[in-house]
Amino acid sequence: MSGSDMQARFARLVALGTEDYLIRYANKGLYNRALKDMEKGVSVHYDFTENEVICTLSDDTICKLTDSIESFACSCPSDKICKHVLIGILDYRRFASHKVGVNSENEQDADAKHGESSAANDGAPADSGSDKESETFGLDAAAAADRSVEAELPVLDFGWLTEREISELVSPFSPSRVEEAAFRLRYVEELEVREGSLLVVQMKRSGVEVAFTDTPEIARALCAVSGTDGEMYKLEALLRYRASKGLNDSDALAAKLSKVEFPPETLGEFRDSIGELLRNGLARLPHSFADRFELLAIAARSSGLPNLEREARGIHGELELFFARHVRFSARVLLSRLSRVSLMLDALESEIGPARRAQLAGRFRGKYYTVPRLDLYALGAEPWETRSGYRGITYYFYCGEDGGLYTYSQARPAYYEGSEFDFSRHYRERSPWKPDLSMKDASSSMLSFRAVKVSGEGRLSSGGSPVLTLTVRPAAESFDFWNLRASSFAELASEPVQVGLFGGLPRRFKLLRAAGIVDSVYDRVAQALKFTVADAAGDRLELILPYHADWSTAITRLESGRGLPNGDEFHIFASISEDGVYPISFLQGNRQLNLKLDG
Amino acid sequence: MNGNNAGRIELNRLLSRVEDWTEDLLLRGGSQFAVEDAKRLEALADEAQRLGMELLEDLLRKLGRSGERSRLAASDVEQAEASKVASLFFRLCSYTELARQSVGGSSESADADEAAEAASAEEQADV
Repeated sequence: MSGSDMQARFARLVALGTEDYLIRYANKGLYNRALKDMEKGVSVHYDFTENEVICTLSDDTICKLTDSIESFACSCPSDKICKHVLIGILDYRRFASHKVGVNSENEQDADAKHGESSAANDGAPADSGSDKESETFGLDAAAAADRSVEAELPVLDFGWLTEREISELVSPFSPSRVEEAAFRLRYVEELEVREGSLLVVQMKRSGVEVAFTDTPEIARALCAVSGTDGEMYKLEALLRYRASKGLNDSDALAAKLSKVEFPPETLGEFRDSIGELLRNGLARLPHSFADRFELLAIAARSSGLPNLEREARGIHGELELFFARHVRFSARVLLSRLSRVSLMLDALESEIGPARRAQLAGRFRGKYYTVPRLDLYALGAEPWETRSGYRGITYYFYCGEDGGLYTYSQARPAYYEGSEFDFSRHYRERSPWKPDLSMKDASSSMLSFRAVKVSGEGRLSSGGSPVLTLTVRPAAESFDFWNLRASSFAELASEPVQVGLFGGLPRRFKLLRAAGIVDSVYDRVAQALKFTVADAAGDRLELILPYHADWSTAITRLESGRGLPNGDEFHIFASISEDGVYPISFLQGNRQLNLKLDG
Repeated sequence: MNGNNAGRIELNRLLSRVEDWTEDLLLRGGSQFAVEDAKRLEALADEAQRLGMELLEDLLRKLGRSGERSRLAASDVEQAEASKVASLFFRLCSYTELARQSVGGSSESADADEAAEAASAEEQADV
């Protein structure tokens, strides 16, 4: 009786085949065409074999179906899902009703089920709406059959979404995809989950829906976005759904993504080398010893330990400086590098969990991830010049979704002959994201990005193909800046000092509220313009704007008080360091002044 | 405020003396660890104790004892003891570096800043 077995399995598919289900697998147009054909009288004759359901349509099309909507063969030229497949599934209700008869019309819970499913079918086509009101017997029977089939909606188990190990679920995807999807979780997203014949996860900010089947495979999920973008959304939806159920996959993902597996010999070689260096002492170290660190750097690279590689190169460079008796040699810098290596080895050899292990091993290169949507409040721009000869402008943005600060930098080495970096020219240059938007304007706008590339440290990339729209920027006074806003001047001093051994210290930024500028004076000794501002409570704070030839006109202008905020309250976006508060911009209502650039 | 400042100056002075010693030993080599080094470390440890820096004191005393043992040990034990000295020595270096940052004394963090900017410039060029 294999034919009837197939029939039962096929009935299950038909029960699953709600309008939503069929439209997700095909599309709305195809679904409507199938309905229209049926309205015109196309009907199906069914034959059940062991492995197939042979549907002979009244227009002579022969469509072979199975118990899965994903496998079929149709005599029409289409190799994708076609309207005949849909008709084959949809018409089975009529076929079944002939066999079952009209005996289940008044089943209460079947009615309820039907009501539910048609409520879920927003924008239902005329067909399903009209059959309720229809008086004719034939259609009533069809509706009844419809209900009886719907009533048998099989119990579906979507438990796999949360019960399976995340590493197992994401294993068919490349680590970089998974990493990118995991990166997106730092942004707030509003989820709406609906369970029917599919489990639909709607991500409201992105405006994308992903529908999971009860088959435990992410790749089988349905998403209107095709290609790799769609794949990304599927992964993102899975991770978000799991997170919404209270699962924390970050450790397991980190373990999978950056499998830090290195030969233990590498660590041993590092330890031996720094130990030997210390035992011998620099004074009696043979010159060839420096090369050992070059080799260690190569070993670290091939072992997947970028941070150690960097330190080994640094030590090599420092030793070369020492042997060359170069003035730039610094024993302190060398000691600092050696001790960092020593501590890293200690940590890597102990059990610190995969996520921290990966963090310690480091990354080879700043990586950029595509973020589906990013809304940024521009806070200001600041030109800078480093002692090593780089010049640039950094633009600062605040993101409300993760409370983070984002930056975009234009930077060039300025030590080559003929290579110059003109601040005002680059400030007025076109932004890389939108041709008619200058960086100057971008620095005081509200930017809404789609598919922009962002690094883990919040740096915006000029690359990729993001879509940027400008929205109205709310006044700084009414925008929610969370932690970026300092409640009082006193708060600046009370925050604990940050200390870091690995990598430079991050700069601290704050948005301060001030009632007015009390005083501004040019300090000739310190070569800086100093403002004293007061807040509403009367507390005072000194702001420092160091002199530089390139922004001397701005300083002169500020000194004379021109262009400064008027009597009302205003905001100061500033970088806070140990030795003072360095203002970058003043914000008041819709106005903004980038202190060093708007000269 | 004044007392705090005075403490800060004293701490900075102690850190400088520790740094002088670490730089000195790096130049001479750990194998030259001498009785004087052990004495110097004990003196620094006493000073750290006086300032209430327990962890620093502990590191200095352990390093002094370990150095002394490595000096006297037979060659087969020497290896193990020497690696212990190295580990303690580098931990001491890291400690002083971090202490410098939190006290807010001279530090080379400006270099780190520059490195970060340069790295960002490189990335920009890459993209």
